[in-house]
Amino acid sequence: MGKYRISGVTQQTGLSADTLRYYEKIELLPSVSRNASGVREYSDKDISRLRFIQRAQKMNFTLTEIKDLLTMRENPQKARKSVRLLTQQKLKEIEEHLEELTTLRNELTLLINLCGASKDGCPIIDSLDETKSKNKRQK
Amino acid sequence: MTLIEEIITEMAIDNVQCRKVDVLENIDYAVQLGILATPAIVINGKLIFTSLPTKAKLLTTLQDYLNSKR
Repeated sequence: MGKYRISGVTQQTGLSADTLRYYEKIELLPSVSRNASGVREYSDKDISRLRFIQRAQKMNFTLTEIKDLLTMRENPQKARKSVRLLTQQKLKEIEEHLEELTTLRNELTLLINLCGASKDGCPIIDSLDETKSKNKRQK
Repeated sequence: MTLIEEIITEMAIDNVQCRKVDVLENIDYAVQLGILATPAIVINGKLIFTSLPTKAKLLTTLQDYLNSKR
C-alpha cells in the first residue's frame, strides 16, 4: 500500500496542495494520516477518493453534492435510488443551462450579423448600453 | 414602403396586418422566433424567410398562406 506526500499527490492528481488541505478541512477527505514528523501521508484509498471527487466535479456536481456521493459510495447498492435522484436533478440543471446557453448563442449570432450589416454605430454596444439605445429610439 | 407592405397593398387584402420590428429593441422576441440575421420575415409567429425573398416568392407564399386559412 503506497504512502504519498502532498507533493506527490499534487503531481498525480493535478490538484494543488491548498486544494488538498481544503478538501481535508471540509471533510471531503477524512483526516489524512501523518508520519512521526507530522507530515501528511496520503494512502491509495485517499488517491482513489480524490479521483472520484475530480470525476464528479467534471460532471458538474458541487462539493456538497460530492460529499453526499462519497457517503453513498460506501454502500452503492443501498444508495442507488438517491444517486439516481441526485443525478437526475443534475441532468435537469444542465439541460436548463444548455437552453440558456443556446438562447445566448443565438442572441450573440444575431448581434454579430446586425453589426456586420450596420452602416452606422455598433448594434452590439447599443444593445449593451441600454440608455444610449433608448435615447436613440426616442429620436 | 417595404416589399411586404407593397404586396399587401397590391393584393388589396384587409385581413393581413404588417408590423415592422426593430430586432435590437426586441432582441429576446427576435431570438425566440429564431431570427439570427436581418432581414427576416415572420408570418403568424413563424419564421418563413431568413433573407429578403423576391417579390414573386413573397407574393406566392402569402397567397398560399391565405388560401390555407380559408
